[in-house]
Amino acid sequence: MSQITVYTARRIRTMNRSLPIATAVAVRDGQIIEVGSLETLQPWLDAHPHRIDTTFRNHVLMPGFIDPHLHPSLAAILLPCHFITATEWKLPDRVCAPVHGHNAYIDRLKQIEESLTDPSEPLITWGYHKIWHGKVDRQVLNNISSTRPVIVWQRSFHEVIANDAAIDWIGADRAMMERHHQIDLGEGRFYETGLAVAMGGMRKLILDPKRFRHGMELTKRAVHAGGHPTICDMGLPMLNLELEWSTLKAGMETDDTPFRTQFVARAVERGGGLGKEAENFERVRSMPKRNTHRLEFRKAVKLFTDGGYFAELMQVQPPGFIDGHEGEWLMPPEVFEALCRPYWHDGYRIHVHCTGDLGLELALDVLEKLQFERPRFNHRFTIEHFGLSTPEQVRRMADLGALASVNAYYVYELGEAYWKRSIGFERASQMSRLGTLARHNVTTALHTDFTMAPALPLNSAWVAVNRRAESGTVVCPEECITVEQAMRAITIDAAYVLGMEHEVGSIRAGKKADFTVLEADPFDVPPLELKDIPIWGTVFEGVPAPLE
Amino acid sequence: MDIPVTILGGYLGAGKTTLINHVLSHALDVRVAVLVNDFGAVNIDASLISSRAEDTITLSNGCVCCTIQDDLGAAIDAQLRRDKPPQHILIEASGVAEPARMLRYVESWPGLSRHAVVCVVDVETIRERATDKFVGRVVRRQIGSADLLILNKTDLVDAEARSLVVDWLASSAPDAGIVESTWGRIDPALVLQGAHQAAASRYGELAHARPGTFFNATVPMEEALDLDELETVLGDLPASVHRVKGFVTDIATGRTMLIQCVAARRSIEPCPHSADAAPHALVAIGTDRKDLEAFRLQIAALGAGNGAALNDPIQSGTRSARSAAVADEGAR
Repeated sequence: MSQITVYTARRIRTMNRSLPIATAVAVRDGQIIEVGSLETLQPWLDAHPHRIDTTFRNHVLMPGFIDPHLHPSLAAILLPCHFITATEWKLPDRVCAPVHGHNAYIDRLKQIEESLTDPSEPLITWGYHKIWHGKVDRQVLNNISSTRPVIVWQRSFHEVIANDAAIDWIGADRAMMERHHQIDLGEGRFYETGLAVAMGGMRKLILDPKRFRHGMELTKRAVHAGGHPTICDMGLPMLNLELEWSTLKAGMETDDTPFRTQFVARAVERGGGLGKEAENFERVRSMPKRNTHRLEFRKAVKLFTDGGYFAELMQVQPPGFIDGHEGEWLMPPEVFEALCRPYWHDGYRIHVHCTGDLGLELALDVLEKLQFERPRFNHRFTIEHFGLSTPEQVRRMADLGALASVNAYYVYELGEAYWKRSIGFERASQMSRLGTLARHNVTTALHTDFTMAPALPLNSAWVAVNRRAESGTVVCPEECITVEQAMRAITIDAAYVLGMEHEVGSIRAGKKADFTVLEADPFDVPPLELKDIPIWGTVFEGVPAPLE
Repeated sequence: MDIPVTILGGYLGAGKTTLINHVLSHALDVRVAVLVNDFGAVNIDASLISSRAEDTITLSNGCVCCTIQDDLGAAIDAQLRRDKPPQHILIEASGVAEPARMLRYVESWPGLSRHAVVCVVDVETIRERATDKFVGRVVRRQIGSADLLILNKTDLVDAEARSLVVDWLASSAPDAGIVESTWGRIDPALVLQGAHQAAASRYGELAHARPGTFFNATVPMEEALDLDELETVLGDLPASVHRVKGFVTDIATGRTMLIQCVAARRSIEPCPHSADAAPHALVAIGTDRKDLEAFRLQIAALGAGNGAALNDPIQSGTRSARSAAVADEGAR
């Protein structure tokens, strides 16, 4: 047995209501031995060899932050790109200041182009949005470079814009591209099916194994920078199980990785799934065989009801969208129900991606049916994302024992956009309905769905507490939650959603010695400054891991 | 020339896969690639399968069946890259697909063109589905965007229930043709763009397949004619005529033109390989003999010397006792 290390701190916010504040925590072999003060710890210290570590005497310790829903594989594809975004993105290797206005966008792009030393290296930038950056087309990009391929990848991933060099580099048949209805070669735009043509050419770069590994390295640093000793990859595989798993294992099961990852397997890997419930169930059940120390599948599964929230493909109850377009079901309701059933009966935690209120309604109808068939307590059926909802649905969630894992960032980035252009003020302002969840005591986690939002839990908490949209407008203050509730949602309640509340999520004897080390106390700073609290680093299983 | 694409939609359980099994089990005169969501339910007679790989089944009749696996673009690309690309692609839409969205996707794909949107409808459940709180809207749009509705499982309901559904479909999708079937047994020519051979030759095959209540008429078109006049006739087809296809000569240019009609959709395009197109004739498929004869007379009335009556130009597929009875009850 190793020596005990006692970390003293300016303050320890344990997130354990029975002992909320402490100043010292004793750790041995990655486990918390006791939390309290040097005085209360004395019986342990008298009995065992120990040392006092005062590294954190000016810092505030919190339980290690948890992001219960993000996607490392997607992040690994995106992070090697150059970000030029309307909102600030703090990344491990750079901070991308918000860029507003066409000229500022072009200046930034020029700056990046000039910074590249290899003249043939393709430049792919992500984050462009017409609303903020004005019109960018082939000619504009030709002015950036006539020789280097320059590709602008739109924020919502639905479109790319290319210069002439990039059109050549994409390598598709020019006559075909000219004929293509969804490629505008004059403007250099590739969208919808045209996007698939562009991606076909871009794949050689963005899925290049070396770049993908580098992307995974950046992802790892981003996770660390957010202050997470625990994350959950909510839905593996994204593209290809074996490629992802081998890259994840090589990147994130190393001694220098200061976090663990729980993986939740997708109930359906590819294709429809009806009639193959048993086969899929066996596949999901066999996943834990892959477990290593840091990478772990548990008894949980991921399902989907409706389409993407950023793509405006959520299923919305009447009166629907202003422009009358329709959302999407990702699987027929019967298939969803049939896929849920074996997991429900076998005691699994079921996580359901629901973005619109009709998608949520389906999840709740099925949950109610399953509860009737075979009542379960403590089942932790979790609504993931929770974009649109009604207050009555929240009450029903409470009645059925459902939990929520919420993307609060929607409010920041889409609160005003969806108010003005998608569904109107009333429903848009109430997206990510956190206040109602709190009033109904529905256990709630905050997640980022990284790369849908920056993997910064304090930023998520900041949105949840303040509900400031990107312009600064406060969007439905009635749905704000308190700092206490928000901090629980990124620690102990997030742990609960992942079935890990007995291991992580608060600082108490017996739990893993995971801490997030802050320069200020989130409960002391003005709520509007929550997102600006500097993070010193983390402690993962007793080992300090400072940020670079 | 572009490869014609048929999108086969319809809600879960309507009978899309059964219909695909039926189509694939026939010796077709075109190489068809069928793209399905999932092999699980595809059930092709083993004697017809010449090889089987992870995501492709190759049939002895030259057709292939492939899985889409969430990536329609890749599945289409794979077909276009084959040494001998298919002559027609039939895509099974997922039960909750937005047909219009899928159509946009396919129509814009280089090398493909829209042939038809076909929607299979379960006569027993459709009315309930169409008001379902989750899928009612998508089901109604599937019906509304179809060129041809295949009312399936008609053996499971009585005539009155069936005609109520037919009336409702006719009002929901006034431009769509409606064909009734059991077990998806339809004339494959209704959903596929065949080569030019008369469908009659295919009916030898169909005799074994109990295709239901279809008739076809071969209308000789040996003389050149005015395309505008032909188009007027084609634009006013009786509702029971679901399909017209074949070759004619344009009197203005002397070119051989390919004629394709599926319900309310029609196209008249120059034929790339005129030599293959003899003899010139139009084959019409419908469910009412009288309407087919009326169509022939309209062609004859154009005065170009086409549309000569043959001894027995209208043939029917062999019908099961039940579907014959249905026809006798005066189904449309």
